[in-house]
Amino acid sequence: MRITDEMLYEAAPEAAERYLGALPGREACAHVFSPDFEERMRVLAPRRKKGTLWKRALLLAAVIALLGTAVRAGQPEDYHVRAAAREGILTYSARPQEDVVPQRFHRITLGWVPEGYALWTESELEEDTVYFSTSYRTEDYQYIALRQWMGQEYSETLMGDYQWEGVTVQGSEGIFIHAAEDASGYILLWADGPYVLQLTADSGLDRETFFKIAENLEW
Amino acid sequence: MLVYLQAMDSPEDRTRFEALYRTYRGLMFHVANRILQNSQDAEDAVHLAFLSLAEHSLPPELGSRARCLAATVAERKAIDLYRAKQRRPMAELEEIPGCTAPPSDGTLAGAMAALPPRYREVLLLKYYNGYSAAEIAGFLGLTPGNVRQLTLRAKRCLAAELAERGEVV
Repeated sequence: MRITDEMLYEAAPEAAERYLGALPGREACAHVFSPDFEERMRVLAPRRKKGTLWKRALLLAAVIALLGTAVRAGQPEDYHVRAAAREGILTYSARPQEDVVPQRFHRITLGWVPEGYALWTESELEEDTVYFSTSYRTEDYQYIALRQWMGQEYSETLMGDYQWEGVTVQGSEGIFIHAAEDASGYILLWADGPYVLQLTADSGLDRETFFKIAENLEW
Repeated sequence: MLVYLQAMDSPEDRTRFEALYRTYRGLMFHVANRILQNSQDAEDAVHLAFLSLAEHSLPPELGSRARCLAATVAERKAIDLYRAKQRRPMAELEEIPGCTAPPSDGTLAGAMAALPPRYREVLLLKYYNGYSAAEIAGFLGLTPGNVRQLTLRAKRCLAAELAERGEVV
């Protein structure tokens, strides 16, 4: 007697229906979450602000203004890495120049991680990979992640009180972003040859340790 | 904490995450609280579940697959938390409250739904949600090797269950 994958694919929808059918509906699950939970989740899922039209227009104008006055943190060989901040909006990006030549993807790894961090997730490398990510965490969910991609434009907007500064990482110029008021997380974005690299970490690390990780990446 | 938002690859991922959060957080709390019997612990489990969900590919639309994913990950975080708090990391699954499975009716689907949580979670995420071993490992806090091993054991468990009931598989 053998259970095959085909049999399981066929049976899975009904099994899921039975499992889910034993759970109550949405209305029956109403729960008033504690302020502590709401605060913790606020940073994970920012509240969708019911912005008025003028607020949205103001935001759009600010973003357009930022794009026009952005300060370049560095100009590596294949990418423009930029960041700019104004009135609570920080934009940063890595845009490939026209002649970035796709090539075989070589992943980069963390050559050093602080004590207590263990490998958590790692994406799979395939023939046509242009993106790779790996993350480490501690038992209490302190977190480090490295993302690497090739030949793709990356841009991001953060709303809130964040600051950035130009830095040098393994000889390449990049941008370092952090919360203005506390060390609640770090982002480091830079380019190296055909790759854009982004290292992120949360409040479990100090700045010095964070940069030590970046300086010890290995090809 | 901005690192968690950065972990999501695109604005689409963030939108999916937010939709999942708003739609299923009550369900996830219910699932976790059924196991932990403590609101504060259940909220911790839901928070941990969303930390895992923020890290991985989410279903493109809300629906039964997203609901299955949300409930499954919340259940796993709650069980892990229960074990940690009880200082019984190897507690038998049937000893954990709130994990009573619907009775099997002798069909393969019924047997799947009635599996112990760990086996059911892995099978549903693989064969219903379509996730890879690496993705399932990320959601459930396992290694891909663990996931493959659990899948094998779950299949054996199903075969034994159906054989015992005289089903021809």
